[in-house]
Amino acid sequence: MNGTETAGTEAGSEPANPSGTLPPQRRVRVLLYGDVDLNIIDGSAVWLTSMARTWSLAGAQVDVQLKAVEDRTLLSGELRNMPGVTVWPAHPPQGRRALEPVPAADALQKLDGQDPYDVVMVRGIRICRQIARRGAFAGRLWSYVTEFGYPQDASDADADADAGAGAGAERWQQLGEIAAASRLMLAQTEQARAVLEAMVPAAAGQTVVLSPMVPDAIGPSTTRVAAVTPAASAGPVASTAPPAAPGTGEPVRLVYTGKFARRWRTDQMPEIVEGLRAGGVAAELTMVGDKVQHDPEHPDWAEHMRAVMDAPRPDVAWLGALDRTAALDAAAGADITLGWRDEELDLSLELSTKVLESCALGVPPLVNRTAAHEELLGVDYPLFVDGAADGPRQIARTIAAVRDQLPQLSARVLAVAEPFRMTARAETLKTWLARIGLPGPAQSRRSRPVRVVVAGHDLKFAGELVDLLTDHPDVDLRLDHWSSLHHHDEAASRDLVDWADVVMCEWAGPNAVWYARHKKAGQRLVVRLHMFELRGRWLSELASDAVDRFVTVSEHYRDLVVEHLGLAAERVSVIPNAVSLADLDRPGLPGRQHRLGLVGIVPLRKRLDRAVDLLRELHRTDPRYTLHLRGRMPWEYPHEWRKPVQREAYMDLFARLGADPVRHAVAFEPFGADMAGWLRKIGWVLSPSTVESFHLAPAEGMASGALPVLWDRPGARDIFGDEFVVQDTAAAARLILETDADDDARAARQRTARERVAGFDERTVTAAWQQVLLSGL
Amino acid sequence: MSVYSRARRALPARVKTPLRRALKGTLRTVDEYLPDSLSRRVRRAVGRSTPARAPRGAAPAGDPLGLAPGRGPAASLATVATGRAAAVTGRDPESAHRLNRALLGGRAPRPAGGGRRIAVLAAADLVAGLESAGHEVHPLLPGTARATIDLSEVAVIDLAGVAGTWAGALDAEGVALYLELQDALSHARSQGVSVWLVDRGPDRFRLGAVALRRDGGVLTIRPGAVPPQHHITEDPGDAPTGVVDLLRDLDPLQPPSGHEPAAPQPVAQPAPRTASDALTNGSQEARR
Repeated sequence: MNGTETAGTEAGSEPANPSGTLPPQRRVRVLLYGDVDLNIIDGSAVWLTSMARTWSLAGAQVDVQLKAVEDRTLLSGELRNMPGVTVWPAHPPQGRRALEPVPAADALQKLDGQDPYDVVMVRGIRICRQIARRGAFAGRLWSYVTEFGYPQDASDADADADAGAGAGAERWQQLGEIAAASRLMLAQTEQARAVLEAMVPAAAGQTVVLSPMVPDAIGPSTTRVAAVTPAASAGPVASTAPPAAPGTGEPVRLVYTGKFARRWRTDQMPEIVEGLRAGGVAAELTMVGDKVQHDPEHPDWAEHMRAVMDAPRPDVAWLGALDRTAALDAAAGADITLGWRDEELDLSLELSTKVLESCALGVPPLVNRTAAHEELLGVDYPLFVDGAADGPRQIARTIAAVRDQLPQLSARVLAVAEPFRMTARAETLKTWLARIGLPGPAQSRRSRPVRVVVAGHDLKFAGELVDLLTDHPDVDLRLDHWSSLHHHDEAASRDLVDWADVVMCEWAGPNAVWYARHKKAGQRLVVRLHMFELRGRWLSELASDAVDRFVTVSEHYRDLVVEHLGLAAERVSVIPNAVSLADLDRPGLPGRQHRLGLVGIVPLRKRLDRAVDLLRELHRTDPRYTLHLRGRMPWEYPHEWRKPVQREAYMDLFARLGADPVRHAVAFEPFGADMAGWLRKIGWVLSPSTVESFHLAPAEGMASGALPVLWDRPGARDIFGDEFVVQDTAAAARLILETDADDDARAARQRTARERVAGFDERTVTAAWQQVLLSGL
Repeated sequence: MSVYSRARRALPARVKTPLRRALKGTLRTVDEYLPDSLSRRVRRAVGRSTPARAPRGAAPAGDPLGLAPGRGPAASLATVATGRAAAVTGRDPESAHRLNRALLGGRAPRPAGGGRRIAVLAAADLVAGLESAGHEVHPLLPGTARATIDLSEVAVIDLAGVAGTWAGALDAEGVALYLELQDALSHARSQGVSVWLVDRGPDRFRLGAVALRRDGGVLTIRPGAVPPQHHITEDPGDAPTGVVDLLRDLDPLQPPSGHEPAAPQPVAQPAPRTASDALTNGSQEARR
């Protein structure tokens, strides 16, 4: 096949590229913008400099567009001195000191117009929304939004709530717009990613965790901290011996740095020192900061805080505001940093950079016990406090109990900080770039991109294909989304078929019939079949000679297609459904081995009855097993619910289940796009279907660390291997019970599963699609 | 005689029969999209033998429990979605009731022996305690929680019991389960059903647990903690307090960590939550 003869093509100008692969690599160019004012030194401003530094360490060329005119150059100066980083000053409209989202987006687009970037990384919901509305930086936008929290009640989540619903509903909608326009979404923690993917379907599968970064040079020595300057080496400094425990009579040194606010318990911190003294432990507290925050719920609090600050206490020092280096120095000189706060703040999905910096300094932080802090510091970390119940005296007892362990805790928290060092995060950035095929070719060899149309009514299996085509620098992609299997905007389809070099029909439905009938000379038509199409009445109308290539998702289904359509076998390629190993590979949650997952229970061939029978069988031995069904109910599919035998089968099944003791072990969960997050709790992904062309769910499960169980059917062994295919429900139960009784057996099967699913990785599959769609063009 | 009847009589049989067949076929395809009045007129036009369509809102033939929603789930995405996001639909507030009718056939269990009907998400010891006290316990389960509330007079959520089918509901990964639970509790409050939270166990620091404790509509009991003191003018002494007594006497399931509470703060109504309230890193976003 060769290029189309549409207007604008320069004959002979495109060299052949039979493999469809990308030419050699080059340096990635990144445009970085944060909706942050570098004149205000706080967490988000420091983030901008850290992010630029980390990109530089990853080998990227970084351009940073500033938001605000520089009054203070402490941070912007640091940026200018970074190798590989170019700073573009802000030029706000007259009378303003900083760019609002519209002029900011204008500035970014102007820079991109001069020399396009590979990645445009933007932080802040307002600027991300502005860019999303413009459709700017398509395929290159990485959006970092932290302006969302845990949805505490249903009104926070309900996008269909009446007018006047909480800001939460509107916020999720905004995030959805941003996610739909972004190549990657960035979340600060695993918890933030989980919530974002659950609440914003468009974010599922394309959200990565960008945790806070700490400079490599920060370490336990105060001398070393004072040397943290832009010119300092970025490499990790050799560690020194951990500090000794405070000797008998020596005070335990506590420090707090930050704002003085009621929810941060700063007015009560001096009482911790009193509590320690009352328990016979000398202690000193250093408070760094001077900003007393007004609390509208407690209007007297600020005055109360100032009174606390003014009260003479020989063991409490109030240093006022210090610059960043001096503040770090003060923390480095302490034995423990105080991060105690009101429990309400534990609902945050963010990880405090101060906590990480404290760890990087080798100073154990005292923090509220939360799931996130347990993941970071370990469940048995002895400096957790109960944010709901503990007061200053209990905290004093907690500190006194660990006094002799401080050197060990120092070493422990130093190790905790290592993955958050900039050098480590730079390696993570490189893996993300590799995942999306960056860096790509230095420049396109084509005079114009290949015009590709993807047409179909249901694109849920075409995610990786659309990403491939969107990312490809030589492709201009348009979607012809049919409103249903049979219905489309014919005028729009005519425009697209006139425009396209390549048409890919997702599902061999009436869309394939139409595009085959209207195919233009020189155009390439590729049709993918999944399953049900072979029984479609329309297939007899398909001009199969007009189709340049058929694609099926399995060998078994290829054989069926060849036989049914009377095709030569070489006209049908097998490209499996893609699985994102990078996205699905997340830590499993405790107890997962006793949770069975089944994704999709409609139509009847999905065999929900087998799954319930399996649960019943397992419960004879071990009642801990639960079955988690994720998907819509049969009555939610009108075309399926209309079939009387199928309807009767489901009604019988639900009635029997309703009266069965195992009903209490069955969770009907709504379908969600956040499969990677959901699979963390699942140990066994069931595939009891009698017929499947591929079945994506068990493959995704295998990538996540779950194990598949497939009832034997044609094609299953070819795709998944013999070890996971069973003859019947009793055999399925035996497989599960035997595996779960032996940790080594489970681990071995998990390794096997991961090896087998590697062949379905999105990068492998997209290479195959590239070959089918673009080779020779 | 209607105009349709006159037209039918005027047509020869060789035309009438195939025409009627064609119209019936078309009617089957389009009927559900037609307004009721037009549907009736078209059915009259093709003859009385065409089955009448059930009135809107009634369960269609073969669906005596009324399980099928009106038009199927509406898509919640305005843009073309690809990948898994393409399969997501909007939330159906009646979904729990439909599923419950499917499972139980619309039967409502009846309380016996004077016991209360209590919806629970609880550990085994609490369930056993309630049943021993003569109460009728209805487990809250994912998929039917809201409907179970309709059968209940009291709801009890035990943080130590958020496991099994609810595993993960207190974590970020299980936020969908948490929201279903919250939806059920919100429904409970709207029905006048008291919701008690048993604040115990190692999971009480998880996100969902913190959120439940801070929920102004939930009544929190901490087993083993000193109950709040009453003013002398309203002290009920040792009057039994039903389910509350039972909840207070439960094993806290962890060693007591606090010997005195945080410094007393004036009780204030929770401020309306905004997305920025939970941000903690002093970021500029938090200040907006």
